[in-house]
Amino acid sequence: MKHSAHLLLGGLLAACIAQAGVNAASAQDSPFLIADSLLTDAPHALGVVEIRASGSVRFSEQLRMIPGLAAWSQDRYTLRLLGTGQEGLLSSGPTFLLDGLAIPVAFLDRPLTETLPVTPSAVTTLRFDAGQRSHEGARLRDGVMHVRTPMLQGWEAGGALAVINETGDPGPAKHRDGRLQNVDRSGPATALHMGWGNGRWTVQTGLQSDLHHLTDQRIAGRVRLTYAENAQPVITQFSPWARLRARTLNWRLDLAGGRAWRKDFVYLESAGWEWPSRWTRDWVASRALWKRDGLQAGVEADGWTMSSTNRPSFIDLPAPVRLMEAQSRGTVGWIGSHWRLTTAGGVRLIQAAQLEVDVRHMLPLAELALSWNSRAWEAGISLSGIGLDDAFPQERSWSAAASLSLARTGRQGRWKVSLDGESGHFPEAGNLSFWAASGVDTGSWMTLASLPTPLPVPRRLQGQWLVERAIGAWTGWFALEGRWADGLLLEDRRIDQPFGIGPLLPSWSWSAPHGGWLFSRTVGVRRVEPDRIQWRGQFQFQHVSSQGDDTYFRAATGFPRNRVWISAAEQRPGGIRWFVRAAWQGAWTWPQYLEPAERELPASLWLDATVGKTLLSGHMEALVSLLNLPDRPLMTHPAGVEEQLAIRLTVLFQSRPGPSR
Amino acid sequence: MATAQSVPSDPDEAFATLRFALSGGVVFRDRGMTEWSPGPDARLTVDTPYGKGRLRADVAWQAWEGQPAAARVDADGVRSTGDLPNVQTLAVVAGWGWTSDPQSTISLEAGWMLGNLFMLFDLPTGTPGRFESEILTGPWIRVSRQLGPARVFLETRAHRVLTRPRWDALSPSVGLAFEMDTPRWMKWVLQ
Repeated sequence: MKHSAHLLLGGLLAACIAQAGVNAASAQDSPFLIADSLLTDAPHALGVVEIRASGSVRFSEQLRMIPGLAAWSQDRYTLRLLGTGQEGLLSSGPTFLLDGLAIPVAFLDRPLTETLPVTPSAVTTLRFDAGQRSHEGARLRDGVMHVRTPMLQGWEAGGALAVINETGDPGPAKHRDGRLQNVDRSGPATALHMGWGNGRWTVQTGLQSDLHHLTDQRIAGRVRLTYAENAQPVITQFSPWARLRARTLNWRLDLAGGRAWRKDFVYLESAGWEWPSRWTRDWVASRALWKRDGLQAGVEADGWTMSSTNRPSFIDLPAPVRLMEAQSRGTVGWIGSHWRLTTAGGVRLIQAAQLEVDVRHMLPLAELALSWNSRAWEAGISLSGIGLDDAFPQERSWSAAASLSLARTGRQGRWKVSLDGESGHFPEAGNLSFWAASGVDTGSWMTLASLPTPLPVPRRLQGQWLVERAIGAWTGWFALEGRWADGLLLEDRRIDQPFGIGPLLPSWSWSAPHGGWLFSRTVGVRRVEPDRIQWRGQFQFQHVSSQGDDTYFRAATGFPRNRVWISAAEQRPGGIRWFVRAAWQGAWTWPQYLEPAERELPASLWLDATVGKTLLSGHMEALVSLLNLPDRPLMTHPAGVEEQLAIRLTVLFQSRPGPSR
Repeated sequence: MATAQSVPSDPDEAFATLRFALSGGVVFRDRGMTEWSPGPDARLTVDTPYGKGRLRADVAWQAWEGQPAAARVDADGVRSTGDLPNVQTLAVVAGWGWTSDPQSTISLEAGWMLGNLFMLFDLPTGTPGRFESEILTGPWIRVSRQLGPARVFLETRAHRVLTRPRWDALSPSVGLAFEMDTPRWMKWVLQ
């Protein structure tokens, strides 16, 4: 048992170290060599048993189930991922690595996870590595989300279909009281895929489609002030995609791309109400790696474009916008028996175009990573930088990031310490600050102020310490995380109206410099043995110090609430699967809204439960999920929905049955 | 010389038998639908052994008569001006229940069910709200006695339709159940 625990922890450590180098992760092959079970044995992870038993068809719903990952949705559809809650509203969301390939999904304050080229039920491992640092070509992100899918052997087709009904409809009572209206309902949400593979090559194509009604009273009240069509306000999405993968001993190839059509109601905190819009988004991501005799070389390229048009509206909406981001990098690495040195150089092109505005910037990138390992020790250091030309009106023409990590694995446990620092701005086409710098006009939907010039240079420093100890089948862990920031560019937002139904139009301006401290202490346990109940539990206690900076406190502390998380899942003989999650968040004051809108957030409890059964010899599976069992209004946000018990009915099907025991 | 013999099914084996039941019931007490008068319901239930109890699927039809406007007065004493439409409901539910020895003359079963209640209101085609669908859940308890080839049973279910305001009902029913071996093709599907 001790030996297996040692191997388990060692493998996990190797996975962590592979990610410790800023950009080394994509250039190294370590992520491909680590078993899914080892990736799952981590503080914030889900294994195949938990993923299949959760019954999720939308990727956003699957991500919401990752232990300890802070997430919230203003409309129960558009998900924001906020890391471990350390960055509050400032969180940029994680980098998404699909089998090691970085997929571009960031847009404004959210990841467009529904465009990821994968069916959620086909995922074997999900793991979130906490910590803000530079990833994949000097993109500043709050953590990394590893998504793992298997290589195919032969032909395979599969998919999932779900309908989600929120309870609380008036039902027949609507006919006796005309004031009563329907509430949110969602779906059908579908995810389909088919493909072929021979173990070395895999070709896949798929389709994701979705539909979500904005009938919640709070949202509908706002939407009806902007949306001028006499029809139900509905968000729809249709996203075809394709992937190609190849793996040999000496080289690897990944290619993925897709298109998404989306009828949307974009809600942004800075706007205070919805933007009735239509979006078309094209994206591609690719990578080729070659390794021989201690030498490794690779080429990576990714890019996306988004074009908007407007839906009928009562207000003056932003004129059609076209955003584009493309990036390519070349990597060269030298591999010794215990060390690895990787260098990379590349260029990023970002563009914002609207009417007569057409702003383009070509930004150079450079990266260096060095790692060393022995049987018990692992160490890594990495540096990355991006040139800014005149993309951002900051005092310096470049931004840089550095990471250091050190870890040790023993027979019964391990520890890891890491230190990350960034200095400067890291512009991307989807960032609101880049829109402001480019002069994008947001019409009457939002007042987008120009950036102050010159901007001070932001500086951030994060430290993490994680210690784990295996006791029998259980692993206990403790994590300490601290972040310090200075010179930040923030939105100084104030809302001095009573909140409720209606828009929350804030008055705001860009404000800099700001800074403060954030601390997080988390203790947790888990048991992820195969063929047993998968247990995970953790308690996170957070602390904020703004050192008297009111703007920082209001902008950065929306979500650092003390949290408890417990989940369990099992696949039983006979094809029965179940998953239960309980999450509690402590009381907090929502700080962005001054009197009379200031509101004390009560402690919140979420309970989700799913049970399912395989049918047709494992070719099909039916699951029933009860989401948010307490069924009571939860005021998670002044602009958020009244959360109610929702019931999801899911049907999964696959041409090659999985293990149903 | 070996001869092929059919092996009798173990009645406790999962999906070994199917039991069909026809029953009729009434709404004994309800809350949330007091402006509608319930008629009797008709139910078809199919259940099969699974674990220490039985899995069941159930379909129930019922008609509700809406009160005329003259009969309705709200809390402020204001008489309503519109008649309530009649409604037909179809409850489709599935559940699992524990059962005492099913081979004994008298047996007891109790369990929980979950499903959907579909409602069709007597309104012109295309009228908003003519068709509704809500989640339904609740427990049931059944006492049965073997009577020749069939079992006669008395069942009571207490279900809640998850609307706001809540809609609860207590509904007893009586019926007959017949049991048969599960066809092989259906057993393959279920397993």
